[in-house]
Amino acid sequence: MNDFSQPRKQEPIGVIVMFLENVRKIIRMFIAIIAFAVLKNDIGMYVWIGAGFVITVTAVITWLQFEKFKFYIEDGELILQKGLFVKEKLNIPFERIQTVNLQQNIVQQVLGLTGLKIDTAGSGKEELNIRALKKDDALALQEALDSAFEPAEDSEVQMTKEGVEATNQKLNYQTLVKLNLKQLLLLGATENHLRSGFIAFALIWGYGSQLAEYFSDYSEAVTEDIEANLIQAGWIGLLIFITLFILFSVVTSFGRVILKFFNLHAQLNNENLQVKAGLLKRNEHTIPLNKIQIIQWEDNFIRRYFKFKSLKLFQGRSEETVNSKKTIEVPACFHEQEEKVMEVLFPDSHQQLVSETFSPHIHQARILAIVFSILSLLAASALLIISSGALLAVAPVLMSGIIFLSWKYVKTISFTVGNKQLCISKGWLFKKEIFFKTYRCQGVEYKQSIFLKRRKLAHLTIHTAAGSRIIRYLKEEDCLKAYNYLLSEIEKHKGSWM
Amino acid sequence: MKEFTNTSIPIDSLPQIEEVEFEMHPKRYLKYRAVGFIIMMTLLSATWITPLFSDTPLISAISGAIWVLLLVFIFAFERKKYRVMGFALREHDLTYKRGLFFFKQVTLPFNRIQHTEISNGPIERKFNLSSLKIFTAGGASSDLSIAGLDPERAQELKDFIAKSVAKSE
Repeated sequence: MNDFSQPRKQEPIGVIVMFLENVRKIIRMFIAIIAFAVLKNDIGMYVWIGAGFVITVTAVITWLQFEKFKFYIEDGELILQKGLFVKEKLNIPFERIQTVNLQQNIVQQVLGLTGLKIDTAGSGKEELNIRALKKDDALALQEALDSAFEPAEDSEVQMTKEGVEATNQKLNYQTLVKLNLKQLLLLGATENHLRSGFIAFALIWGYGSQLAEYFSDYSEAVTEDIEANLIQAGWIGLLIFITLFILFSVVTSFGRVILKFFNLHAQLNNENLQVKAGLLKRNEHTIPLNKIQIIQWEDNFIRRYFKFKSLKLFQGRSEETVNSKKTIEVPACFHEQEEKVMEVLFPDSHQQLVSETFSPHIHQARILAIVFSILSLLAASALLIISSGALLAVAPVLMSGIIFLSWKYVKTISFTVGNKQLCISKGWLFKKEIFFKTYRCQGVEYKQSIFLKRRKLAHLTIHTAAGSRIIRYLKEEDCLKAYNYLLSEIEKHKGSWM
Repeated sequence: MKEFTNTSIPIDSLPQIEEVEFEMHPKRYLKYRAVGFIIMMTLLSATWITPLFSDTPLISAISGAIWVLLLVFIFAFERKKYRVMGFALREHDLTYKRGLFFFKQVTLPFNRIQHTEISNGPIERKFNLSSLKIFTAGGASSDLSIAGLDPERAQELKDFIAKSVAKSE
């Protein structure tokens, strides 16, 4: 059954998956109107008829979409045919494929289907998604597409003994991280709660503002009432708000971690890294190691106590996906796993013969302290508008805290340049270490405003296929030194870099 | 980490970007910028400022004066900025620098360039100028666009880059 040379359709039962996906899209589009109708409690005849009509049309369109969607492999290309009225044919050459991911959302899990998603380095506009395959078909297709990642000279090497061993090793995945429930909960507990709170807040706010337009009539009357009460309530209100926010943040952290990392299983062989995880939507990512551009280790002051870090992997990306979350995360790596990853991804780090570490000027701490002081004083004065005397009491504490944190933060920043790899390390409470191979750079940029020029400082930006990384407030001569050195190393490098 | 050494970067033996001679844009690029600004500001004042204040002569006179002053300031600024701008070719890379208040200098090695493109808009064509765009992998963050080049020079640069890109592969 695993023959992909002839055009074939998806599994028939997959129509359900596609239909539900389309319905979800439509609901999303009309969410404000639907919510309004539900809340106003006047769902009339016409609404029901309209909804029935929309659903029937969607069902017919989905069925046609399913009938027209075909995929096959021909001459080293994956070909997708689709289109209701205008026939569309997408040719995806194997070498353009960055990763092939398997996905199972809850509907697919119930129906026993697997979705396959393809990331390319080119334009990310087209949807390269096959939604409904049997598990073994999906695996076979993934295997077929993965074969493209192997370099051409492999076929010769395979004849030798080492080659055979290499292929055996390639098939054998070694477990890197396997999360059990206890570890998952620990992970949830040690998240950066403040960040998850703010992200969730922003997300809800985004949906909220869409709804708000429809409720402005009601809300005005209500808020006038509430406002008066709030001002009276004053401090109590503020305290309740802060407590609720913290509670909300912690709950979101746990929710996010459990949804994303439930039953996580990360495996490694000498060609690929595979990560399976997820509660409602199970994702299976397989990344060829040579397509990993940048890796980032993250930990925070609590996780440091438990001695584990999170690993984030960045791949080459296209313009459309620049802001999307195309990072893959392996949380809860202990020291031995960290060493393992570094050994596999940076095998020649012991050949790092040249290396020099640069640190930013302490001027950066001054700038940070000033910016954050102004911002937080503005925020504090907005919150404490009820009693301006409190501001005077809070300000010195706040300021000294900010100055201390800024100073601590800048003290931890370091930038190590070597002939094999680069490392940017920063953060005191929340630590980040970014590693990438020197030859992965594809351009360097020197930035200097007139204020920096007066102080003989400059920023250095390093461009890679997975985005740019910037090191700020270096000494002018250090910046130029790294600039020239990086260029000479990139230009010396032969062969592919992506 | 066996055999780990930590030799400092041998800076003296490396080619240094500071010593490179930069080539300036053709002088008419300044005129092109000036015309661009005049068009933009005229459109702005024609659509917004004039209709709003046409019945109050004092305000229109003042805003007219500000308009001229602003234009003079922009011209002076552009002239200064022009002197900072420049590009340089080396055997293995291309460098472009620009910016007066916020100076930026980018170097792209040829073996990391994906493709190049020459384009020119209607006003650029009037001034016999072209833009050269250089694309790298991974989004727009490291793409480079050099506007206001002599068309022949732009073509020469494009050919030189194409040849060097092919050589490095």
